[in-house]
Formats: sequence, C-alpha cells, structure tokens
Amino acid sequence: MALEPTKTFTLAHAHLFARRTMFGATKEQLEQLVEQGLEASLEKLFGYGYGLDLHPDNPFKPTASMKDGEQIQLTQGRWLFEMIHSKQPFREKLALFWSNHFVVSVDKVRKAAPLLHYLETLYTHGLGSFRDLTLAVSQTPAMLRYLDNDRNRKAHPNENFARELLELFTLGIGNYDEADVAEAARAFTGWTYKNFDSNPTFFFDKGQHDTGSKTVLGQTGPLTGKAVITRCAEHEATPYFVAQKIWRTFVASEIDKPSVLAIAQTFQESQGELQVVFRELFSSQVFYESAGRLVKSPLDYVVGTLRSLGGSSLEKTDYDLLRATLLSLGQVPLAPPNVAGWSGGRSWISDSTLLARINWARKLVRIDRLYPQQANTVDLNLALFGSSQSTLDLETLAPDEHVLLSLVSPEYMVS
Amino acid sequence: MNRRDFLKASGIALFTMQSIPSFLSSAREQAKGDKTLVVIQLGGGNDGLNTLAPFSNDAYYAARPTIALSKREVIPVSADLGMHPNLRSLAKFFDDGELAWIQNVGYPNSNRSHFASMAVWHTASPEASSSSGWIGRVAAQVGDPLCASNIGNSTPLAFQSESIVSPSISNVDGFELMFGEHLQGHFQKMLAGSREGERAFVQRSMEQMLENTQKVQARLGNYRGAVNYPKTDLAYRLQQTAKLIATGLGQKVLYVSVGGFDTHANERPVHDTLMLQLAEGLTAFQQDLEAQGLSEQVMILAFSEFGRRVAENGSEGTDHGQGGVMFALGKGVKGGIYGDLPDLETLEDGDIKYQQDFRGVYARVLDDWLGIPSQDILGGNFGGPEFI
Repeated sequence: MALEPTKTFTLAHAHLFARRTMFGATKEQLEQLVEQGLEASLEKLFGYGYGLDLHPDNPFKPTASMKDGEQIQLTQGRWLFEMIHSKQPFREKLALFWSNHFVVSVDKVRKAAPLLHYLETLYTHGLGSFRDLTLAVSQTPAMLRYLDNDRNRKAHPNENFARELLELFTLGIGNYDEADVAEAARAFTGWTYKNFDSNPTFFFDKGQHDTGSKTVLGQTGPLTGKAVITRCAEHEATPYFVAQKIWRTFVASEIDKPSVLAIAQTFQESQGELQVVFRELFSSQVFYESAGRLVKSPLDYVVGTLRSLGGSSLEKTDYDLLRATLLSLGQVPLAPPNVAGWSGGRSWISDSTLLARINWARKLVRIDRLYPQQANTVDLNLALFGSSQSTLDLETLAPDEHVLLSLVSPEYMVS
Repeated sequence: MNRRDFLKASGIALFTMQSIPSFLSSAREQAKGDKTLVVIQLGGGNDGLNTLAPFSNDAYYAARPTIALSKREVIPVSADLGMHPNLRSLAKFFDDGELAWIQNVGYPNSNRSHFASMAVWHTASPEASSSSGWIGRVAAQVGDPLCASNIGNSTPLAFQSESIVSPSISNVDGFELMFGEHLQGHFQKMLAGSREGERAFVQRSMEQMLENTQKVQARLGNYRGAVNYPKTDLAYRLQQTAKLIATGLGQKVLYVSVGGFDTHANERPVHDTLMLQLAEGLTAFQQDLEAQGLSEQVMILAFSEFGRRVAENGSEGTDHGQGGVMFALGKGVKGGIYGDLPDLETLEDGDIKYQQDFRGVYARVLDDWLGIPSQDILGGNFGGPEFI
C-alpha cells in the first residue's frame, strides 16, 4: 500500500513543496515550479548529482583559521551561506535532516576539517542507500570522535557509539537489549581515524580490534563493525524508525500511522533506497494535504524567509547576527542540544523563542537590501504564503510593516 | 501614554483576565506560598561516584585505577565520603547544615538510554504510564502559567501538560515585546481570530507570552544586582533565575539545565570543570539570594538521568549506569548524608543498585517544601529521606 500520488500540482502545492524541501522560494521560482510540473520539479530536486561543489561566491574558508572557535564559526557560516544561496537547496535541507539523525556536535568536534568531511559525507550519501549512508557516516572521524569510538579498544570497549547506533540511528529503543549494546561495542573496537585536524580519514587499528565471537541481534560470529551496521540498517525495526523521523521532519509533527507504515514499506521494499522513499513522499497526496501541520524550525523560518524574499546577498558580517539569532531561536547548525538532536515540532516554540523570532523579523525589515521594498503586497503574499490573498488583514500597512506582521503571524510560523 | 499603559488600554489586559478560568483562581491563591524550588538538571548522566566519592572503600580504587578521586584531594564530609575537590565552595553550606546528599537514587528497571531515562525522571513515571511532566502537573494544579518556568529556550518534557503551557525564559531583561504603539495595535488585530491545529498552538503561545512578559516586566525593578556571577552558561541561567524569583510572581518551580556530563572518555578534566562550574555558579546564586533577602524561600534540587558504571572503561571514562546521587541546597534543607554508602560489591550489570526511588525525593519537596500533596502529582505515596 504505497502512498496515494497527488493528482494536481497547484501554486499552493508548489509553495508547500518549496518550503518543505528547499526552505522557501521566491514568487518567480514558485511560478516556475508550477509551470514545469511536479515530475520535472522532482527531477531537478534530486538532480544535484551528489556533487560537493559550493556556491562560487561562498566567502567562508574555515580551514584557513588557526583557532578552533573560529574554525567552527566559519564552518557554520559556510553551511548557512549554502542554505541561503545554493541553487540546490534540497542538498542542504537533506544534509540538515541527516545531521539531526546521525548527530555530531561542535561541542566535541572542534575542527573544521572533520566537520566539513562529515557534511560532505551527508551530501554524498544523503539520497543513496540508507545502509551505505549509515556505514559512511559511522566511519567519519567526526562521528568516531563525537561518540568516543576513537577510544574503543579491545581490552576495554567503549559503548557510546554502539548504543546510539542501535537507539538513535537505526532500530530505536525497545528493539535490542543491553547485551546487544555491549557485544556491538566489541565489533567497533579499533575503528578510529588519522589526521583529524588536517585530512581526516577513517583508520582501522587492527591491533585494537576484538576478533572474538560476538552475538548481536541474534547473529553470532566474529562480527566486524561493518557486519553490525549492515545488520542494523537491514533490521526489520529500522524502516519504521527512519520513516517516522522523515515524517516528523518533512510532513507533520503528529504521526499518521498508516502513512508512516506506507513509507516504511517503501523503505523496506527498496532496501533503503532513499531517493525512492523521498520521491514517493514528495509525490503523495498526504504530503500536499499536510499544510499547517508542522511548526517551522528556526532554520526553516530564517533561511526560508531570506530565500522567499529574494533580496540581495548577506554580507559576511551579517552572519554574526544570523548565528546569534539562531542561538536564541535554539538551532545553530552542527550544535544540537544532545546526541538525539533537536526534537522539533512544538518544542521550537517558547516565550523566549517567540520573542526572538519577532525581534529577528523587526531587524530584518530594517535592512533594506534583504528584501525587495518595491514589491507589492500581492507578490509578497505569494512568496510568503503561496497565495495572493493573505488571510491576515494587513492591507493598510506600509510594505515593511506588512512584511513584519506577516513574518510574526501564526500562519507564517507553521509550514 | 507609555507602552504599558498602552497595552492596558489596547485590550491585552482583557484577554489576560479571560484566560484564567475563575474556578482556578482559588486554587491559585491557596498555593501561593512563597516557597520556590529550583531544579538543576545535570544532563548526560553525572558520575555520582566521582561527585561524592566513597574514599574509604578499596573497591572504589580497584574499579577506577585512573579516574578515582584520591583520598588526598576529596573534601571529606564523613569518615567514608568525600566531595569532589572542585565542589570546595559548597563545603561551607555542608558545614552550615544547608546541603543534603542523597545516595543511590534511581528507579525500578533502570534504563541506560539517556532519553528513556530522562523521560522517566521528567514524567516521574518509570512504567511510562504518564505522558505529562511532573512539573507540568504542578503547574496545572496551581493553575498559573507563571508558577513554573524553564530558564532557557526549549521547554523540557517535565513541563508537559494538557491544560497549561509553562514558559521558557532565557533572558529576563529582554523578556519584552518591543513594538511601537502603532504596530502593537495591528499586531493585536492580526493575532485575534480563530485558528486550528499548529497555528492555534502558536497563537495561544503568543497570547500567553504577551501576558507573561507584561507581568515580568512590571516587576523587574525588584531585583538589585549585588553579586558577580562567573562567566558560564550555568551561572548566567542561575542569575536569570534569581531575577525571576525576585519578581515575586509566585513562582513555585524554576528549572535550569546544564549538559556535558556524558563522560565516556577522558572523564577527569571534563568532569572536574563541570564540578567547578556547578559549585561556583551555585555559590554565587546563594550569595545573590542572600543579598536579595530571598535565601529563606528558595531550595535547590539537583538530579541527573542516571549515575555511571562503577568500573571505568578503557578510555579513562565511564559508561552509562544506574543509581546516582542527588543533592538539595538551601536554608530550608536539613543538611547531611542520606542513604547508605554505595555498595560496590553487589552490583547490577556493573552498576550501583538503586535504593531510593527518586519519586520519594520529589514527594519530599512537594509535600514539605511546596506544600502540594505529592500523591496528586506522583499518583502514589513514595517515602523519601527527611532532608527538609
């Protein structure tokens, strides 16, 4: 029972498609989506060819700095620039999703090189096979460091990575026991890295690997780390676990069980081919019927606004304000609160974060170059809400006030 | 007309009044004791054995050859137990009988997952029978959204409630909507109306936020900065906590989180720093409360989602465990050490077995500090150490 495909692709559909998969789009881009239709829009969305190229104007060179703190900020700035300006925003949107699934954090990974390598791994495998993605990201020096697998040795296994692999990356809690954690940890002994600061690469330290027999999830033998990851990625609990995460990020805060089961089934039948899964979802009726069911994340809110208004580029110095804003909104890229990532949904909204959204919107409308002042309210409504008629009664206001009150409306805070 | 007068005139005050059903206002008056509980969450699984170390026990040193606190460095609080050396600034509170340590705290069928275990502490429901948080249930019973607040951006599960939304406040001085008068009116008009689903949720949250900010701003002047706090995130949040308490808005529970306790590797330097930040932050907070004349009415209760494995791992760290330590601090505390010495011989999967259900500790602060019947909040009677 695959998801029922949508029969139409209207401007409202295109707007939902844009805000869920590309952060947002200008009026012109929306009209282009409608004109080319859903099929072609999906081809373009998935057609980034797994490339690693950056926007030619991206000014951030994170590895040029000698200081850890600066390296981190430049890395975050570099990624934010891509989110705001990339011609292929889905690559960034998807990497953001996976970075909130296979979490690492700048708390422990304090160098640009491993962070950039981790991001590139998400770009490369984010739309490929889930098993390959899990294996590749598990072998990034950033992950090996973040979950202490660089300290996981034959004589004294360290359980951190093995536990989160089972609990947060693949099966989900309740589908394994403590013995599986301890045994899986043994399979990852010896997984470490070389050249963390400059040219981070995975390194298998054979002398530190426990070659003995282990039993993980009912499988017994001299299991390697790769064998355990394959077993986890292909475990019968994994499709549903990943499907509900996709649902809560791209569709709605509340789970619609039949739809999530359908996504899980597609995941299972395609053997975790992620492009198949996302294609079906973004073509489905339930997807286009989900308007208003998801609270926008801070990055959806901020990046989406900048993309929708289509003003000129941010200056490099604007990124300091942007990072400070994202900190008060509760979502700085690569700095989630803990290994489970941001929980999303209604947890984005609190008194403090609402005030921070309002304050950011106030600052934004004062920076003329960031949005087209000459634009008429019809065009603005189209870009922000996907409809020329706003349900908000703002027509008597000046354009900057119109934009401001639109941005702080409950209608705009949800996707 | 100044901003506040304007807000009053523009009708915000109207929905402020309407949003509190009248049948709740009597419950609210009843619960308006002036006692405040400040919950400190040590996220990641604080290592109880390296917070309050059983330094007379050879098994402690055998299990932790590289990371144990040496007999020489601990601050002894009994013949067998010593505090982490970086908790030195808390020693005077212990000596004055204002610091209580509670040992071997946990719950049945302990879960070693951070998130599952944290959820147990937040819901006070090890059998996962409740989806609301224990503080959310307190707020619902008191019936005042400002009676419980989180200090930070994102509201923890502990505040979850069907009937009430508690605020998260990160910066008390900046807790204010700064629109000019003209825009304020249009903002009100835009916000009015009926919505559904997530939009209605955001609308309600905004209305509540407006009400909360006005109440807090009106009484910000009560706080007089008198103490220099250390420059740490924890200390910053504690100062915000002091400012909120000083508003005298009947805050019963305030919540501060600090993370980083998941010390799987290289534990000592990381944990040492965390202990120092904790002790210095709390000491400044206590001094501040003293200066504000509030120290009699505030109690601190610290917890973590679990303790850590007794034996260290091969990375000079410790993996997730079970029983841990809690502590309570304040003038209302009957200081001392509660619970038996941790039993390092009879372990459960390498962990300390819990002896004190954490709900017994919650029950004690609910009944004896906040004056809220614990049975209503916890759904049962739990015995706890008499540290109040």
